[in-house]
Amino acid sequence: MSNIVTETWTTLRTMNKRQFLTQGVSLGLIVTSALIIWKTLMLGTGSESPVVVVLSGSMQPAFYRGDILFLYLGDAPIRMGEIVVFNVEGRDIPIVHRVIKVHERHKTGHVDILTKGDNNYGDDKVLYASGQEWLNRKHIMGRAVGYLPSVGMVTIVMNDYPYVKYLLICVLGILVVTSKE
Amino acid sequence: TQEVNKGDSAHIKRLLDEVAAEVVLESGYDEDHFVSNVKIVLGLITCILALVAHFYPEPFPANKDVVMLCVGGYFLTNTLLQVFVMIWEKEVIVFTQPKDNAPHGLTLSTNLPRFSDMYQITIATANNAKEQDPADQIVVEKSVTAWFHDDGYLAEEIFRKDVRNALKKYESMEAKKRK
Repeated sequence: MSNIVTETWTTLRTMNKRQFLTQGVSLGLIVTSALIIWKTLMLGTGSESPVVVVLSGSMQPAFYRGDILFLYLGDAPIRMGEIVVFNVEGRDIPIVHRVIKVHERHKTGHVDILTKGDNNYGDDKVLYASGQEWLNRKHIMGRAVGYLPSVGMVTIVMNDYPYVKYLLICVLGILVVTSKE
Repeated sequence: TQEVNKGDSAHIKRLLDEVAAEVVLESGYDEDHFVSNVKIVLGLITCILALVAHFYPEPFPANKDVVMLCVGGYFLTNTLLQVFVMIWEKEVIVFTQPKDNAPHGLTLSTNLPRFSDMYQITIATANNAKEQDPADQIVVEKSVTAWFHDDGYLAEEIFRKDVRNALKKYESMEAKKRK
């Protein structure tokens, strides 16, 4: 282990500016390609966050904490029974719950939506911003169209222990810059 | 000197490449940084496009056009970069400027196929105007076992001598052609 560390350190020190820059750009290309894939997914699904991790157990037994959800927005109207992901002003994490009431005004097309977590006792009115009684189309980020069980647990760990995330990124970064590819 | 794991083909090639490049650059040639510069510039532009797409100060649906432009631009410059590397760089590990009165610099390329032990050094004229003519190159091919001791240490002097000889053969061939 200490061998790898000293080897990495000597590589870093003996690199000249040009090599360092080239390796840095390679690292940048790898990171930005992941970013671009995310942006393309955003454009393709119409959703601000095309992939989300389920953070609470409020939708059990349909979804468990750590599941990954794939979202798609589309233009179709929001209907009862659909599982939607929505944002509430003042909260920075989106919520994944089921639509239980939809009121649509024929003339204006305005839609009021009420949601509730399958595993929760009451509906989501307590979760909405103060004074807000319904969700509207603009709050909805997308509908759940697919899921992967448990794979998102990694994100939850990294969120609960942020230093794990930073450590991981630093180590990966150093490894890439010093890899002699 | 350096030690390699005898089974690690990639490490062997990297080490030989490094030393071969040193030999060429120590023989009075200046490195030509054109390809390296283009790769860095194109790479930087590509990364910046992605960063703009991410950090543009409008929230999602509003910034859709900017994001689309950036994503499109990203694929474009990335493709440009790959094509450039494919056409210009190929297997070259060093490009040099012309030395003395030579009209062109040279390129040093190496090849070590996947499951083979035959390391091939090619010194050719860095002339992009015409297709690489076999008559314009010196190719030296030897098994890597000729340059490594049993315990994995590189017999550096032997390898350097081989590279220097290849270089001298190339230089005398070039000189003859100009007469």
